[in-house]
Amino acid sequence: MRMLKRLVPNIYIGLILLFLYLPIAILIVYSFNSVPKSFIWGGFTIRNYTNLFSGSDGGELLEALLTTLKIAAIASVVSTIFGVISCLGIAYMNKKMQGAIMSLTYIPNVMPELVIGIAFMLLFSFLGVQKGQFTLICAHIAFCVPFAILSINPKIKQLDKNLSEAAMDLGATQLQTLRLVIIPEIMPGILSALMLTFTMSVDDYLISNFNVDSSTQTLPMKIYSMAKFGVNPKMNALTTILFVVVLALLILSNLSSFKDAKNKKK
Amino acid sequence: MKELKTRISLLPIHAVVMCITAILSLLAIFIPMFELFVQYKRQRIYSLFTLILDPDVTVGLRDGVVNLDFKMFGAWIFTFTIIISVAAMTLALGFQLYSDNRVKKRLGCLSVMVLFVLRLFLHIYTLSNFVTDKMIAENNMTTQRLYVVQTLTGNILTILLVFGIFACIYGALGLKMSMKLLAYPYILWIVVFTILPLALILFRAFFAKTSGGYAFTTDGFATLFANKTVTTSFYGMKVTLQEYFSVFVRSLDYAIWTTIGCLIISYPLAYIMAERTKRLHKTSSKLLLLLVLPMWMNTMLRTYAWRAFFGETGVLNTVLGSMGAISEPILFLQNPVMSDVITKLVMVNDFLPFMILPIYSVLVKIDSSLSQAAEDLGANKVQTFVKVIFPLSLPGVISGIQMVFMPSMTFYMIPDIISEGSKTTIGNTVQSFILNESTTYQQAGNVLSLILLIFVLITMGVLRNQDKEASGSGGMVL
Repeated sequence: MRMLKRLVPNIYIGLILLFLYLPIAILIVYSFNSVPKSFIWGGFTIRNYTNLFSGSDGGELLEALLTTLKIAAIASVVSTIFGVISCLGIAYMNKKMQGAIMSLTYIPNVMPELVIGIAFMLLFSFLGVQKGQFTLICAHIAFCVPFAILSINPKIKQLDKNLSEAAMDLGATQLQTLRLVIIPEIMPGILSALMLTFTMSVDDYLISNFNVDSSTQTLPMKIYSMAKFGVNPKMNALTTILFVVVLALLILSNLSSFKDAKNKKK
Repeated sequence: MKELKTRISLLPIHAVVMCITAILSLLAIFIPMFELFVQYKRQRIYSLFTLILDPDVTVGLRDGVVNLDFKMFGAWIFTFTIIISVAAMTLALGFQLYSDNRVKKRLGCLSVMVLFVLRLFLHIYTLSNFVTDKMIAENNMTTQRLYVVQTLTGNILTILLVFGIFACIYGALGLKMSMKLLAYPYILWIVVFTILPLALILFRAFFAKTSGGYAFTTDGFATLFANKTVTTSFYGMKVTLQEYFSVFVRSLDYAIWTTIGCLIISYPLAYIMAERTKRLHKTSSKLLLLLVLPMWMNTMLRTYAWRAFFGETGVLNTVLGSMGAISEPILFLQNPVMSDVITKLVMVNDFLPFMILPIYSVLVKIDSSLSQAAEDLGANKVQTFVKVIFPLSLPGVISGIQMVFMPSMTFYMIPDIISEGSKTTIGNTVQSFILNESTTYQQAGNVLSLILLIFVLITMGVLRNQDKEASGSGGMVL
């Protein structure tokens, strides 16, 4: 009976993980498919990896990848920096103002991406800005900022107010307090904001679709436009590589934080 | 050197802003120069700035198609801006670092402010006079491209200089920089990127864009609520409904089942994980990581993978066939009822992490002494759960529903891919309306977005009477 009690949760977790990872496994398997542009198995090959960026489709893929990464990098860095600055400011406001600002921050968070995309499109047309890469970057920064703030703000709230006061009492200037006390304390929040906004930007299709002209294509847009002709296995190969990179980064960061924790214990 | 370091670390914030502005305003001059220099050399070097700017322009510059003449930028203005920037930099750094006299410091701030204003004036003058239609025509450039050049090296510097001027005023008046000020740009941001766009949706639902401005019309509503019916099948039943109402009902059907499915699967899992965390006194971070990891894989590709799983020659049919369970492949995706079920399954798969994380983050915070107390008072396990644990976990459940319900209603890619475009949901409809050439349809799209918006606000209002802390932030575990 006890055995069963311990076994059932584990089986349940296992089944859910299976459910979550089934499509990913299929995706990875099909990245080794030798038949182009379809999900029909035609034999094992690593050609999709070795010729990833060669040929006309490879060139388009590389272009889409570079566009996506560039936009995601700009959007995540800018929105995170903006988020940190804003959160610091918000923390010094009175309770009423804080509440008002935070509930306004939640609005884009619960709004469907579709509505946000349309809203930004209307905004740009209202301001007379032509669609293009610039509007795409603006839109990405704009929808990333609330997420950055929502992941940094809890960390700032956890911050002991006395800490900065103590630093000031000990003769530190505002800037020193910020650099030596506050920023290191909220670093986990900043990192998670960076990661979150980067992935949101990379994965976004709906908002990009409304705020870009036909000359620019991000990776998700490319994938979706391929729908009519079947998925190119190179696409699978590319996402597999990206997935492995993310996985490796996560494992590395986990290992290092694990080591930190160990060192702290000593 | 050590003294300089201490002096730098003692700088007040406004002085730092001034110094940074001064240095960047000097560097900003060299951005276009550097850009042109690199490109004129016809080297295949992609500088950082090139990547930020429109690549087509830089390719044109490199190949000599686009011809930008330096003289056009005005050599005297160029020299002048350099002198101003250097002066501002010297003054800002010099006065703030090496003057201990308060009056002198304030005077320094004032003089830097004058220089910044001058620099801003020159900057705007250059942008408006030297990047003109003539230049666009002569250089084969579209306004779009020039706009990018203008905005990135131009407007960013403008904003920077405005901040610098404010910092100077602060320094000159001897005010202490309050940290509160840092939030003001964000308030402006909220107005521009949250309130204004949503107000525009409301506005554009009633006003159509015409050549001369905006005109009031209700064509959008008329199109949307036109008295036209279609017959669709829901769960195998034939139903005749108004054209767009049937789309709405289908989206609602998908969204409700996705939310219920996510909830049923997530709650036990979150509960198990929370119990485990409490028992072991540490977060099962590896499991959490495993649960959010799929989000890094593109959603649409995952959906295609599901198609490969359920397809005619897909994994499931192959496995069943080789086991001898079926003699010929089952057409899962072609059967309307089954494809509906599969769509919901895929959506549950996609949105699951968004439900698990908020519930887990609330459950894990519930003090385990509460359930012990309940049991001491004679409640059995079921009673404890129903009367104590579940009510306390409601904020998590609500924020989970919030994160799943509305997105799944409008996320049209999954139904589209699974049913190969035969199942229209509200997302497709809005998209095809908005991107339509005719203004009537565009307006109908705006009306539909407005309806969605109101729908969101209502659900938010209904759900938000709960704990504010739990919603939203719950999903940000990673």
